[in-house]
Amino acid sequence: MKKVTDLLYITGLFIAMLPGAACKKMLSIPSNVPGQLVTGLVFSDSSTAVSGVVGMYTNGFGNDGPLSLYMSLYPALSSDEITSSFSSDFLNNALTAGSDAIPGGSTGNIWNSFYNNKLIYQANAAIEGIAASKALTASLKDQLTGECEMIRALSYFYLVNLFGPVPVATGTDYLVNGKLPRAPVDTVYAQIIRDLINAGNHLKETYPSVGRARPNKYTAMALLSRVYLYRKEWARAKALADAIINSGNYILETPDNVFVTGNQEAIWQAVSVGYFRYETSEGQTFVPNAPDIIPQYFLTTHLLDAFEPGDLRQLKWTGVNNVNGVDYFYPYKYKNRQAAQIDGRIEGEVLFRVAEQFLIRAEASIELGDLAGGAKDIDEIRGRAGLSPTTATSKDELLNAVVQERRTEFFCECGHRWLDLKRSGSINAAMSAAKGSLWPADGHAALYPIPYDQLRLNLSHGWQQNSGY
Amino acid sequence: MPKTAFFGRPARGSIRHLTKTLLVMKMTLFLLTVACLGVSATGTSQNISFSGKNVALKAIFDIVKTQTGYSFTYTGEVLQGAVAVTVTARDLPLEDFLAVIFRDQPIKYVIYSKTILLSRKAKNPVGFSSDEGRSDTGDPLLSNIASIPIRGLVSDESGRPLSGASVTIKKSKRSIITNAEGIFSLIVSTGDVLVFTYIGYEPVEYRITPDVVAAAQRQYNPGMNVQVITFSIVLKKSNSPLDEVRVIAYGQDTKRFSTGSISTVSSKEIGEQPVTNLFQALEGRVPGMVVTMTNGSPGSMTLMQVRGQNSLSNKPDAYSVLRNYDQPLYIIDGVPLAIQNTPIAGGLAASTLGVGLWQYQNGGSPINGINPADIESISVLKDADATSIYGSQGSNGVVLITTKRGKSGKEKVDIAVNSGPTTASRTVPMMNTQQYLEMRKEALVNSGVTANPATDPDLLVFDQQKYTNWMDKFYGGTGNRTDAHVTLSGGNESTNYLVSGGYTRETYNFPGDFADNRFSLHTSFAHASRDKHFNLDFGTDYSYDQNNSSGGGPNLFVGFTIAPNFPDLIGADGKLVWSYKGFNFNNSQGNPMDYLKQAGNVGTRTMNSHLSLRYQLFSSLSIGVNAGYGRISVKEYSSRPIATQNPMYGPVGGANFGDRNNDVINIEPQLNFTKRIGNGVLTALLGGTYKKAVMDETQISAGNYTSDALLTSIAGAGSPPIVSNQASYYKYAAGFGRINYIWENKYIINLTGNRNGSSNFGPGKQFGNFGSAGLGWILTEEKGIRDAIPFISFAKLSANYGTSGSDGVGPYQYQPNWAVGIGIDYQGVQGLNPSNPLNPVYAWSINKKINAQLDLGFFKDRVYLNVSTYRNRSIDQLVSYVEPIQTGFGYITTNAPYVVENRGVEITLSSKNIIHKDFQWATSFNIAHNANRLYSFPDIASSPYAGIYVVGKSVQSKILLPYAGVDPQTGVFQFRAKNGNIAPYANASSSFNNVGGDATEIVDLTPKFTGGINNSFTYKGFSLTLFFQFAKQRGPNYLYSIYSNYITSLAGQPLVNEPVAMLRRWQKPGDQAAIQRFVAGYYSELDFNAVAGAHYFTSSTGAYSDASYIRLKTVALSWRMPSSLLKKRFIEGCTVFVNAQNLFLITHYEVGDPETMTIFSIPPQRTIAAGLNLNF
Repeated sequence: MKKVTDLLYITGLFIAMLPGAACKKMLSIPSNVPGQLVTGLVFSDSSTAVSGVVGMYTNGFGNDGPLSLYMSLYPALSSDEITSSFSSDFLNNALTAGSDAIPGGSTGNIWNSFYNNKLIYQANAAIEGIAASKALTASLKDQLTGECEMIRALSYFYLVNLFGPVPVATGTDYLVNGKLPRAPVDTVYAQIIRDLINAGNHLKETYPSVGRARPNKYTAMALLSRVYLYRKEWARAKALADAIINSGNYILETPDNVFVTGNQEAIWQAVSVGYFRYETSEGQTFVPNAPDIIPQYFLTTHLLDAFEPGDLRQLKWTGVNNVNGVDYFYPYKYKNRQAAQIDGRIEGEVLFRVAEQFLIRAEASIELGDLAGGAKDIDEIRGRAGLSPTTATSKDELLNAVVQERRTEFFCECGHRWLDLKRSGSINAAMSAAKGSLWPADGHAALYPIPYDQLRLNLSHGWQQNSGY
Repeated sequence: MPKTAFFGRPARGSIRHLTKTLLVMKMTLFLLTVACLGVSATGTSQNISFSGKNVALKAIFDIVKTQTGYSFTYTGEVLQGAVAVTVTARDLPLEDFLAVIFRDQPIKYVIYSKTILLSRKAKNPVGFSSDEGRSDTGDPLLSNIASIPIRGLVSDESGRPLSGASVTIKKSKRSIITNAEGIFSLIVSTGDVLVFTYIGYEPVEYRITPDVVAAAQRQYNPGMNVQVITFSIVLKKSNSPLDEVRVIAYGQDTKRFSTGSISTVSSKEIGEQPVTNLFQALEGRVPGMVVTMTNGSPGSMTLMQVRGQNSLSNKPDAYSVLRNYDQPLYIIDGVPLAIQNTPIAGGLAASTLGVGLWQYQNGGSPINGINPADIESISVLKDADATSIYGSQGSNGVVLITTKRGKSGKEKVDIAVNSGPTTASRTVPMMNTQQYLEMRKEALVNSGVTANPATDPDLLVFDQQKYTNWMDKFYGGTGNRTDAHVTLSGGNESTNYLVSGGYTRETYNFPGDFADNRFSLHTSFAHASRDKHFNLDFGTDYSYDQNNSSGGGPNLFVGFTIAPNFPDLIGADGKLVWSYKGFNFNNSQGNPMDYLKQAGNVGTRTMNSHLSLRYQLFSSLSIGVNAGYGRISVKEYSSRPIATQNPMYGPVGGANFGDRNNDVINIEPQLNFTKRIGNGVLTALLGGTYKKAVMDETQISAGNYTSDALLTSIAGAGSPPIVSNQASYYKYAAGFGRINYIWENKYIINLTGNRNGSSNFGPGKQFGNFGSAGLGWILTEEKGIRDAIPFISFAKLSANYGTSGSDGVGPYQYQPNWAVGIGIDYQGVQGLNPSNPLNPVYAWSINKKINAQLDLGFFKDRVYLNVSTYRNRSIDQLVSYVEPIQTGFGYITTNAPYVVENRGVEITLSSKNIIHKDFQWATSFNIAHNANRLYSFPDIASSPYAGIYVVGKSVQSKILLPYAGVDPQTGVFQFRAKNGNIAPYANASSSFNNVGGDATEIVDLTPKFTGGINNSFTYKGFSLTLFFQFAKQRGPNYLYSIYSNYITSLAGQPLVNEPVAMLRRWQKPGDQAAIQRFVAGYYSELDFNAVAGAHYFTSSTGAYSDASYIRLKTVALSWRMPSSLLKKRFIEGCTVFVNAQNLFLITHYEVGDPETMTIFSIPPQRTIAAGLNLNF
């Protein structure tokens, strides 16, 4: 009977204990699951801290990442650069906020991929985590913070240009971010400029890793000069472009080399990410998989007509398939549909290259009255393309020459054409000419609609859809 | 009447008595707690050590009590004249010790149970031997007052003693409970009537005759031997449905004394249905529980929901459906199902392309590892009274699954075999070549374009006469379902066992091997010690299920829509064909046959093991522990062979390997207390739970295979495989209790409570309290009522109120986690990405439930009616709350600010219509109505759900555009705008982006009512069961399926076939048509309007229609051979049967199945199985 008493005692004790203090221990589980870390831990060690920043690149440049294909494809479809053998909302300038069966519509993916946890949010979280860290060296902190600021600025740059006023989240508190208004365009730009100035201070002139795969000081300056150009702050734009060109780090490569890994023209060139069988999303998407089929996307006659005879860029950067006697030209800047397909050539996504800085300096110079300086920079680009110097002389002619060179230099690349048309105010005329009745007369298609589901979630704090949608 | 009350307390007035009873209850609880905590040092040994000189007898009594637990009962005058005692005893047996101390006393004593009854010796013994203990003639003193202690045995018909049976003296209401051996002792007088009652048995009355008293006196042996049993009582199993024993939380009860809402399904009902998935056997059987097959393919998910949806969708748009479908807690033999009812794998079972509330819940069913033939019963616990004891896990109801146990008796072998064909029950008729070409040509005309060989090969390249019924090719096959089950069982009164093995194979209509094969082994072993004080129950279920239908997400939908004149998909060489006269199949929908050749399988090993130990400490108190371990291991494989891909693209092979284990350990110590207190029986339960659930998973994605022969090898991959692993941990600890008191079989009170903690919550938020109170009143125990309405044999009113909760979120959601980016590096650096934000604030959600019910039995319970009504309010719901994406995340785990209410009525009626020796007819019917509404949502207008949910309306509502038919002039769908204008929506789109906009009509998709009716007939050896299941509801119709899918939404475009029903289209101005114009693509403004119209149609009332149905769910016909036909010595019984499932359907639902509510999925299977059941 003694045993029974003991048993009773133990059971009673066990039951009494359950809801009590000892219970806390019964609920203890490992502090995290495999492969996960809390923010504090990520930034308590230099190696995981670097991973915490590099994660933005693996996502941004990954499969159709927002920093790669999205920006080369969708704006190119919307503008007058490429067309497609099947219709799409981008191509038809027929975007509606919820036009696909996918809630959020066709622009939902673009919007979401910038704002999600792997780009802007990650930059915000990493900046906070780095600032709070006591374990990292000051120089690593500066470098990583600068990279995050660069990514954040680039993301907002695209967002503000595609969508107009957008919410500017710079922290991680969902209670705050969930109630943000659509900030006016000037406010968004102010944040971009602030980030880029800080990034310029935080980043070094040398690249933090092998090659030019992660941004340095000049990368921040390159985006900032573009931003000043867009904001018509000519002197600032020119000064930054000047500094980059004169740094001696960057030269104009031959057209064959511009997109090959290790070229000296790139200011920021991503490397291939992970396990995909291709190197760049552009190569995978634009290069047709057989010589006898109609490419998925092919160049418009408007773009083809823009090339002057003998332009090496048309020769080197476009490809052609002849199907049933019809030539279909496609973007061929990136040539590898699959990894290292051609002659062991390795390519990487180029986000910034010095050619743009020449054209920024040219445009700024012309606007500032230095027509000769502008013409000289234009001729640098034309010369590399195998073309004779520009014949333009007046300010307007020279500005048009810049527009022409930008068009043929940056076609299907990072949305340049679409953004240039918008900032110059010529979009309505250009697109009406190119798309005819598909282009809405009120020109509202120049801004993409806010994805329907996101608009809906933000209506309570006063969001309005872009007009016309 | 004896003055001595059983506990030495005289009976008093009823009010004081009640107070006393409550006091006793309190005391008991207190004692129970103290006892549990081990504070009591009470010895219970039967020997006494005591030495003393001249000790007062009363003091000795205390010593005996302390050392043995035996107490003395007597009236005051008995001790008059008692003398002090001098005694020296060391380990002296109690009987001897008593003989010593009473040797010189004027007192006699008798021991029964744990009580020593004292009375005075006769002053002048006449004819009575001075040797008190050895008299054969009985005790004249006791005989004079006609009171005598008797002992009796209560057993069931098989001779098994019934422990805990209640024995009451009718007149005095004094009563006790039988001990573990079924024995009771009681002092009775001649003329007393004893009433024996036991749960599940018919009560028996027994009159104490002078003979009984005389017999007792003869056996009466005051000092020593009181083991003689005077008489025994056999209780018969009750026929009343009220007395059927059913499994409840941590115990059993009957409908008669229950205050909670519980429904049960028996093994018989399950066994009559030829289904592989246990849950499918529950469809329509449980009022208030909606059972939904997501899909007809073998092994696919079946969902269950008790009393409505409690939470809102975490997807904030009117087009989407509920991703978080609230399901009950599933427990098998006391062990929570390791993965609950969540999908174990993808594959065919997940290929639904349609809608339905369960769209995100499909996949492989975890319950498929349980053989329905091994199930004894299923109890569904619905209200707070039944579920609060599960605390934070019981919010959405609880489903208790009990497996079969052995029975004592002769060894038995049961063999059951059945087999039969399965076919798709309701496929979609698609257009034939002639109709298809007509559609295509008309579309081209409508779009104003001419056919072009590049885009319209169906008109210009393909054979215009060729016709293949692809629907038939893919879905028209006949599968087979075969099931074999062997059971061996036996035992004696202390030990029994059951071992059963089963094999089930279900093939599928698709061409190819997509079979589901299940091997199951069920064992049960139970043992009771000779004195019945110790009980053990142990059992294990183990199964292996191999499902071949798990190819990597096949999109068999193409099989529906491929053009009827499409060239052959498989060439003469047996290989897939990829082009025809220069037309590349990949320019349209590819070759859908590839999906059928992409091998995949899921091997699921399911184990459930339970052990229950119980020890009867005292007649009133038992101690025990339930322990269990459950595991589901899933091995998944899918491949994409080179041979299934278009060679034009230089394909390489790929394969995915997955391994997942879900383990759960559950330990529940318990104390059970049962005692007759006052005029009632008190039962109390005190217990605790410790539960740990762990999941770990490894997935390997291997690619770039250059040979299909290597696809099963990870090392054979052409590039380094991508490996990822995941894990999840969950711990739960609880203390719980239940107190139930049934007073005079008339008034019932039932209290439960639970305090528990869950590791899913952040620090300081882990613990919560839950509880319930239930009251019941059996009106027919009131004499006045019983006499006034004689045809009502039973009436009970009961009600309860309580809370239960939910901790249904993943672990670690409260801390800001970062996860490793899988398989991706950047310059050799592995990336990390945030996976959730800092969010420490969320905690339990609470569901407050009220339930009231009326139980009525008519005509000696031949007709039984239960009406339950309930109201549940779910508060502080723990959900993934939608947030705008600029927060970084689409959803945040939080306690939502809204309250969802479910209220409803459930009616169950069962009747034995005809009871005749040769012919019986019984009917049971159930129907349930549930009304769901968003009870409150403060500030909904500024929430993400603005315009999606409406306060006061069902959470399964859609806010839709009023559909206004096809414009007779343009042939495009039209809708009624808010301002009353009727327009194709393209013109009204400016208001579309405002909340609600023109969407003004609310359609509730909650079923209005659901239920079933079962009729069973037996005539001699024949038995026939017909079971109809029905639902009244609205749901998305076939047009929703068509227009919500981007491939089919443009009826008339190249190479996409449509259902025949689409021919009812607009053709020319003036037509009043159901379907809008055909268009060949985007060519004109009207085409765009048609495209937009198709899109808006899916969010209009036109896409929803009546989906009510009556389905003949089950027909079971069997014939039990008369024993004269069988060689008696060898075969004991033989039954031949035919069972059919989903035989026919009555519905207005036009195309497709009203249960799956999509045309692009696999409809429920019609199964007809014939078989044989042999017993040896």
